[in-house]
Order: sequence, then C-alpha cells, then structure tokens
Amino acid sequence: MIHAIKIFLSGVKVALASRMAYRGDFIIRLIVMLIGDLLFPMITLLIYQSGASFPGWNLYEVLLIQAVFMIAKGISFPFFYGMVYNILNKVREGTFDLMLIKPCSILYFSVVSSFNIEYIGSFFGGVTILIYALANLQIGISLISWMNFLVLFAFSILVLLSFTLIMSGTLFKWVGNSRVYEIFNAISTFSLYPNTIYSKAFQNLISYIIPIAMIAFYPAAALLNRLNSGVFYSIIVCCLFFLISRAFWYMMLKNYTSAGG
Amino acid sequence: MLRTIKGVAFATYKEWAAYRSHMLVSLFVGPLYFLVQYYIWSSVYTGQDLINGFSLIQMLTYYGITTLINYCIMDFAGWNLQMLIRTGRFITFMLRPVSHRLFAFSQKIGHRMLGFCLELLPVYLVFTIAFDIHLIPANILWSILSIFLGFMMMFLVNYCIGITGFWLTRTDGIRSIILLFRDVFAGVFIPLTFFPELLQKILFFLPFQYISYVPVRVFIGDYQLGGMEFTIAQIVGIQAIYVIMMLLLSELMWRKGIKKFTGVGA
Repeated sequence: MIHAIKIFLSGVKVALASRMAYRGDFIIRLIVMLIGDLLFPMITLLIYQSGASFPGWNLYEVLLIQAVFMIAKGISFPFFYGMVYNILNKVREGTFDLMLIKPCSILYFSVVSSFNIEYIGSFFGGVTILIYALANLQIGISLISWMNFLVLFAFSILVLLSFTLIMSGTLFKWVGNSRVYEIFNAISTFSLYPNTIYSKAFQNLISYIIPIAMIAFYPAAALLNRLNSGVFYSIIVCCLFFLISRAFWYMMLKNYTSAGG
Repeated sequence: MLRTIKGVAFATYKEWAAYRSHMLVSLFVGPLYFLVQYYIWSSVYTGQDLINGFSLIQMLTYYGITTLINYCIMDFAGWNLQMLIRTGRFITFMLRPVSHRLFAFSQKIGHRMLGFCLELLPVYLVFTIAFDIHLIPANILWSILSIFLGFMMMFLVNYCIGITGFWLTRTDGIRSIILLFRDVFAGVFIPLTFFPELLQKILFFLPFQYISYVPVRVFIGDYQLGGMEFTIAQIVGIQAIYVIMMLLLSELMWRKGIKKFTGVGA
C-alpha cells in the first residue's frame, strides 16, 4: 500500500513539474476547462430566461444536476482521465512497452502516470454552481440526503472510471483515434439533464444498462429528495459496469503489438 | 494555383482515407448529440409553440443543419500550423514554392471532401430516416455560396489562431479559449437569438456568426439577429465582405509573424 502511494505521489510530482514548465498556458487551459464546463449551465440559463423550462424542474434543480456533473469530472478527471491521452500517445508511438516492464500493476501505473491538474477548474466551477443552486432552492437538506449523495457520488466516480477504462482500452486496438473523447462527451451529455425528459425506454437504458444517469442525475436527485427505488438496481449495474470495463481493458491490452500506428 | 490545390487536396484525401474509421465516429457522435437536442427541445416545447421565434420543428432543423454544416467546414489548420511552428518543422515550408496558407487551404479541401462522403452524407441519411428531419435548403444556390463562405471563414479564423504560434511558445490554451468562444458565438450550441439583445448586436460585428449561424439561417431561408433583419442576398454579401476582411487580417498577421520565426522550435 505504501509502495502504491509512493508511486502515485511521484506520478503527481512529475506531472505537476512538467505542466508548470508552461505556466501561462496552464493557467489559460485551467480557465478554458472551467468555461467549457459552464457551457451547459449557460444554455440552461438561456432556455429558462426565454420563458421555457423542463417540465417539473426549475432552473436551480437543473443547475444542481449540472454542478454535480462538473464536481464529479473535477475530482475524477485529474486522477485518471489523463490515461486516455497517455495511452493514445504511447500506443501510437509504440512506447507503451516501457509501461509494461515496470514492476507494478500496469493498470495502476497507467492511472498514476496520467495525473492532470488542468481539470481541477471543473471542480471549483461545480462547487460554485452547487452553492448558488442550493442557496436559491432554499430547501433543507437532511443529513441522510447528504449521506445518500456521497454514496451515489462515489458510484458516479466509478462510472467515470469505467468509461475511462473502456475508452483507453479501445485505443490498444483502434490506434491513435483521438475521437474517443467525442464519443464519451456525446454519451455523458445525457447525464446533464433531468432523467424525466427522456422516453421511458431511454431512461431505463441510461439507468440500468449503461449507468450514465449515475454520473450526475442520481446524486443530484439524492440532494433534492427525488430518488426512486430504481437507484438500487442502478448501483448494482454500476458495479457490473466497472467489472466489465476492467476486464475489457485487460482484454484489449492483449491486442497491443508495440508496432505503433 | 489550381494544380497545387488539386494535388494537395487529393494527397490529403488519400492520406485521411487511411484513417476513415476515425471519421466514421461521426456516424455515432453526430446522431447522439442530435438525440440529446431532440429530447431537450421536445421537453422544453411542452405547452409552447414558439420560443424566440423558433417552433420545435425549426429548432430541430436548426440543430440538424448546424451538425451537417459543421461537417462541411470543420478545420484543423490552426492546430497544424502552431504544431509546425512549435516543433520547428515549419522551416520546410519556407523552402517550398507555395504559400503555406494555400497549402493548408488545399489540405482542408481534401479533408472535407472525404468528410462529405463519410460524415455528411451518412449522417444526413440518419437524420432523414431515423429522425424524420427533412433538411432541404430554402434556396440551394445561396446556401451553397453561404456554406462556402463559412468554409473560408472557419479556415481563416483558425489560421489566424495558428499564426499566434509565431509569438507564443504554446498556443494550446489560447487556441482552446478562442475555439470555445468561436463555437458559442457561431451559434453551434444554441441559436444566437437566445442571447441577450445587446450581446446579439455585438455578435453581429464579430466574425464568428459568419462561420455557422449565417449559413444555417441562409439554409432555413431567413436571417435575424439583435433585432436586425436582412434578406438572404444582403447577409451573404455581408458575409463575403467579412471573409475578405479576415483574409486581409490573416495576411497582415502572417507578415508580422513570419519575422519572428527562428526555425529552432520550442
């Protein structure tokens, strides 16, 4: 365990040192990440300002869902999302071999060597919107609701990790395809809005087959006291989704040929 | 010049055809984004016929056309140029008997020709068959002209961003921020008529709306922004003037920037 923490800390140290070589660019990127994430709250605001709304949801409830998405991204992405870019580059160059000969778990090493501080802007942006939304909602949130939120939020991180494993695993076979990001961005957009705007079949799809709704909708629903019993099935699906994505990653790793592309 | 454009465009077409599976991702991503918009707007329009002058069908058509037009005009010239400058590889272009801007523009033509076949046409079919959205231009000639001008505008805006690489060691950050503003203010995410009126008036004078918003409105057959209304011929004329202005700006920036190039990379 101590060995694993040491590896993680050295990964963070190296990542920070290399990123700080271009401080100006780093600060701009941090701001860009934040502004980029504010795009969806801005669209929501423009919709509500035009007099329209999502039936059954007020502006601040929708903003709360989007804030939870940003916080989940802001916590999970710095720690493991960078492995997609890392693996994409290393597989394309054929230098992933260097990772394979390290004396520790290849998956763990891929994660810790991909720390990327840039995404932290999403976290602060998300927290700000969360506070703004909660202040305007003026609802009392019980301790149980916060506990539910934290538990579901942990599963949100697990879903994001699962997607990262699927995306990066794909790159062992689909060499150099930087468009995997677009696939994830498109899929995750479904988590930015209330589940009820989707058809019943689609709600089932994003809750019980590919648990996208767990990324932001369910944790936010916990705070709003709008959870339904389906969340228990969704939690089980999240666990299965993680196990499958992990197995998928190792299966795809076997396709690595060192040839680059 | 035409021989150069044809040669480079064809070479780029063949080069990218080797990565056609990358382009086919659009077949998944384009309809998926549209599906999100479909659900969002279907829900928002519950009990309302018009929002900011758009009916539900017009709104879905807006997003459908925006998606397709973006396949026509998509561009990577800015990224490519700044990468060449940063790595010092741009030096090889100093020795070639062709301007880099023309070379990059020809590359874009080749790249988008492939995009037309592998992205635009299949996604158009998906929209028509799966979503029952019939994307037919109000006036085909004005639409083609406006999309071509949007194609030029996108290239020139991106190219100017790429030229900043002569001054800045790394342009990733500044490029990302401009690209984000470009897409927001080009009306890619939401029609510009949803923005506050004052901002709409400011946006009219910025180059971004001429990339996507104007071609989309020309495709639909009417144009309005910030309380201003123009006929299709007028707005396409204004779009052409902006393209010429952007061309002059890129030339000016190029002449200033090239003096900074040292060829050593960073």
